Amino acid sequence: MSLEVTLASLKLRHPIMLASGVLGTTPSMLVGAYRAGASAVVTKSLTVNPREGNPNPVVVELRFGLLNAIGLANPGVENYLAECLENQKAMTKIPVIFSIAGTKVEDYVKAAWLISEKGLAKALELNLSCPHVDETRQFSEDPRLTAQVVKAVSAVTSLPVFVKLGLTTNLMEVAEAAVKHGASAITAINTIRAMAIDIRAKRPVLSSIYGGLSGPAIKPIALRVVYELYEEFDVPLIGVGGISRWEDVVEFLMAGATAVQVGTAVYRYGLKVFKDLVNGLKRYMEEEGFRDVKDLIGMAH
Amino acid sequence: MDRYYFEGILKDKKGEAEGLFSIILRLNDRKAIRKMRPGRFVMVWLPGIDEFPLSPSSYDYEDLTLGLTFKVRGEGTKALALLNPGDRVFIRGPYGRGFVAPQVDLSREGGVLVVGGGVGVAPLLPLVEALVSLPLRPYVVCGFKRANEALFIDELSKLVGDNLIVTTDDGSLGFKGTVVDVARELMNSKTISYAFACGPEEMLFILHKMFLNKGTRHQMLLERYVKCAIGVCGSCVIDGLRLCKEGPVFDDITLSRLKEFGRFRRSPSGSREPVA
Repeated sequence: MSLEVTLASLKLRHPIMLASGVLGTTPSMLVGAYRAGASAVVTKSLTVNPREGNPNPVVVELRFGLLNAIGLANPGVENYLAECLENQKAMTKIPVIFSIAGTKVEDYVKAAWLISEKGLAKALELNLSCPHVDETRQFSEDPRLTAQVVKAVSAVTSLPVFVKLGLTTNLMEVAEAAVKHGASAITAINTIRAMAIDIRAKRPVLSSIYGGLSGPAIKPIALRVVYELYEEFDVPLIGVGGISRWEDVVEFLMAGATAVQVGTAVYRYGLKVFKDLVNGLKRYMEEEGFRDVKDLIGMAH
Repeated sequence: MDRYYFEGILKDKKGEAEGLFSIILRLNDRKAIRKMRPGRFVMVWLPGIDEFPLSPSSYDYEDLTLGLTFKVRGEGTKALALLNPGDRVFIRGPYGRGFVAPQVDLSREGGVLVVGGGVGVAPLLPLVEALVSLPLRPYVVCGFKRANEALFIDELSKLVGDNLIVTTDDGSLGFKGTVVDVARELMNSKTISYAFACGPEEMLFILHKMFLNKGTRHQMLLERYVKCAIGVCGSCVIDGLRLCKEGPVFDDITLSRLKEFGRFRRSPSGSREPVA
């Protein structure tokens, strides 16, 4: 039985990756996630300069998901790379995808350049859709900006460029702009802008009012987006949004995803979730007589 | 129904020492209190001001009360110190792994040592109570800069009598010197089979080295910048471990593996910075 899938030049031992934002704050945790069973790991989104993010509270636990407004807190590309180089041996052996965020096109270009020249990354993922940082969110709300940033980044790197989109009404136009200007894959979707109000405190819980909703609550929406994208585009798709059981993985593959990313489920079930998902997928393939996981991709169309 | 926070009504407030306050909250829910253990922590939310972690200095399963002892060091703790009886505080948690009963037969293998420095003495109070109820009579060594910063001296001496040893840097109370000096002397003169500690990380690091040398098993409660408290954001990571999940109490085996212990912590951006 083969579980191997390919995203541009990136070969993965199976389709289940670690999503950006969870555990990716430090290189040592990325290595841990790979060892626990993720086929590839995505760093927390990095910006050119360090960002402190939003003041607390920055998370709200919900029954069907998680609301977060970390605000792209990160040590900055250069500090992060320096820490990666300390773990170079372990890092070069695993498929690490560097997630980049910014507020201007030049930020993405500079970060992409700095990351590419260190040789640690196997691909880049452009976060154009952080729902609680307006200056970043604008990129995936305007196809022209998406085109600019994807084009500019693709010009300075030889790495595959994945573009992570958010839930917008013009999502298909944005995806088209990304694909046309060099995206090797589309990652969909980012968390969805949402909020929570504490009725005893009588105010929004998050200090930034709005945050991003992730987890099972958004799964059917993410699945729909992947299905729609598969109808229109030929680039590989990476499905993300609320995947927490192996059945979800199968659904996303059948909708057209080549690979999936898991984030909130790691918080809920711990790192063992990767092995559980892979084992569930294998069992399903045995039961249904599949020899190659690639045969599942887009099957529901 | 999603409920995000437990409510705590402020019952009592007192100044403990210079810049140190204790408040007693009555919680509206049994669940949070039931899960309290020495060394675990809660997130304290003051809407519009801040949310920050504190490891309670007391809790009562019957009265549903939670005691928080803190040093005023930012906007959040300042606002907490200004609250009045009847005011509401929002609490989530408790989180993390607290102190655990060690794997040695404490009643046979000699004494137990508890070492606290400054406000780090606060979360040790429920631990000492738990040890005394085993029943054990641990040695408790507490160090402060000056007499006016000393914390829980009466409470601790009630629990362990003359097994309590207090030190101050300037000699204004108890022995002049540091807890490390006293702990070293105790370990030379008595059989100490297990140790617990909480306080400034420089102090903990020196104690850790000393305990390792003597072959004394131990657990220490560390402090980091905590944002989410649920293991997602990574701000409290020490090496590959999340303080909010795998800590805040770590045992000697784990501590010896941590390269950042005693050296680095993470700033709000996640950059490494020196601990001191």
